[in-house]
Amino acid sequence: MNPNLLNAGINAVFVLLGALGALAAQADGHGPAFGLATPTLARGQWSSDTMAMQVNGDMGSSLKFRQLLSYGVTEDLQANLSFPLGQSGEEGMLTGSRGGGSMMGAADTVEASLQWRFHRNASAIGSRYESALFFGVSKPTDDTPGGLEPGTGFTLAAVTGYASRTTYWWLGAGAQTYASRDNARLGNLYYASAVFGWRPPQFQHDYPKPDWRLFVESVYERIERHRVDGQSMPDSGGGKLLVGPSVLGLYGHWGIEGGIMWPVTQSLNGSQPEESYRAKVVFTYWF
Amino acid sequence: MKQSIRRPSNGPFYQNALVTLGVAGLIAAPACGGGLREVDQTIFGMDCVPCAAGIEKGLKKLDGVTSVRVSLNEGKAILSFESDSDTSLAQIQEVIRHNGFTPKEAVIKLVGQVGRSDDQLWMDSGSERFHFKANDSAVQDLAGKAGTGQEIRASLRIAESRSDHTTALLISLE
Repeated sequence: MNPNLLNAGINAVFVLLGALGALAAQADGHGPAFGLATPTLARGQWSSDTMAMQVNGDMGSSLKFRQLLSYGVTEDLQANLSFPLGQSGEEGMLTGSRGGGSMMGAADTVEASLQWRFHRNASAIGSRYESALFFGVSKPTDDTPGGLEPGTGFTLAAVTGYASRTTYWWLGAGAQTYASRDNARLGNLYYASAVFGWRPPQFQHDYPKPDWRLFVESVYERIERHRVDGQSMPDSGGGKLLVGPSVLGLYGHWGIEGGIMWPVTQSLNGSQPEESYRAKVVFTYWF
Repeated sequence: MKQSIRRPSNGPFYQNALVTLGVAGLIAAPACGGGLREVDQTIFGMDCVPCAAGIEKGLKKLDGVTSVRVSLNEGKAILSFESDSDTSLAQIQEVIRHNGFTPKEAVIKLVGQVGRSDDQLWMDSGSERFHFKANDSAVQDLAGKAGTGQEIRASLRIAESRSDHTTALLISLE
């Protein structure tokens, strides 16, 4: 394997894996753009999320498109299937980019996941506390020459939160691990997110008028060093904390969401490209 | 037990006969055209537009629904029904639960019969039965109508619902 290509691939893996890995739960119904949130689909209900995400860093930028289909098996169990729609950007940023969750996984992985809302307490009109677990599996769909290829990924995450007509918050954490592939193994990913949401009084119109809400989101990600042929790769792994705003607009069965996050701190091992920002737009339809 | 008998097609003979028998209080047959007329259902936990849209969509599929209004800010679903609707309050609350939310108190207007079993008064809409609390003095006016088969129009407050038993407070007779 060409060492330069491998190194570029590993760098790209970290940039995008870090960018995408903390997105294991989707922003459906009332959720944030980047952080973990609880599921909302009704029993027997389908939803479609079409999303675009841009990651900008020292190595250039990458734009990815992805589709998420979700189904409410019950009101507390949601099944998700996510697959790529396309990508564009710097070759170095895209080579070997893998990993992530159901919302914005790697460009050429198919991801299946289950969300189980195991706790729900409707405390008042318009408000409830709830908690959920997330289980996910991601599978690469093809080989990309040059970069570090991940094996099958497994995700486990938990989130708890509160939703109301005026404020929202969620706290979540998760981990993603990968099987070895071609003597290479991506480092485990650990992440946590905190989200606070607010609906200003001028946005508190009643249904069926449009519904808008604002979020401040923060995500912390930490990745272990990747391993190739049993050796830890020096230019891999590290941690970063990102913070940024997002906005969610809902009207009838339609939703649109956009957000941007900037790194507050980045502590990267060895020589790796730093991330400048990540931005995301999601169009949702609930059937 | 569901006892729902449709009215025969209206005609002068039937109308006159029913009015005469009703005034005389001699109707012993099961309720005719009983059922829910209006429901004001409080919902806890509903916070978003798609939540309301999903509930509205589910409620509109129920039998005999003529209008549905869902309010996020009030936390309510307000429905009205045709006179021959078979929809029950339990079905309405099931739609809400299947959307992931919690039905609470409901105020209903219904037409039905009054009966008594085990010293407890109840009102049967034809699709479900609502039991009055034993110590509810307001329902004593209904005691004389128990078992007569007379059709009663009433407003009830449903504070507690279970799958097999529903406890009601009488708000008013119409």
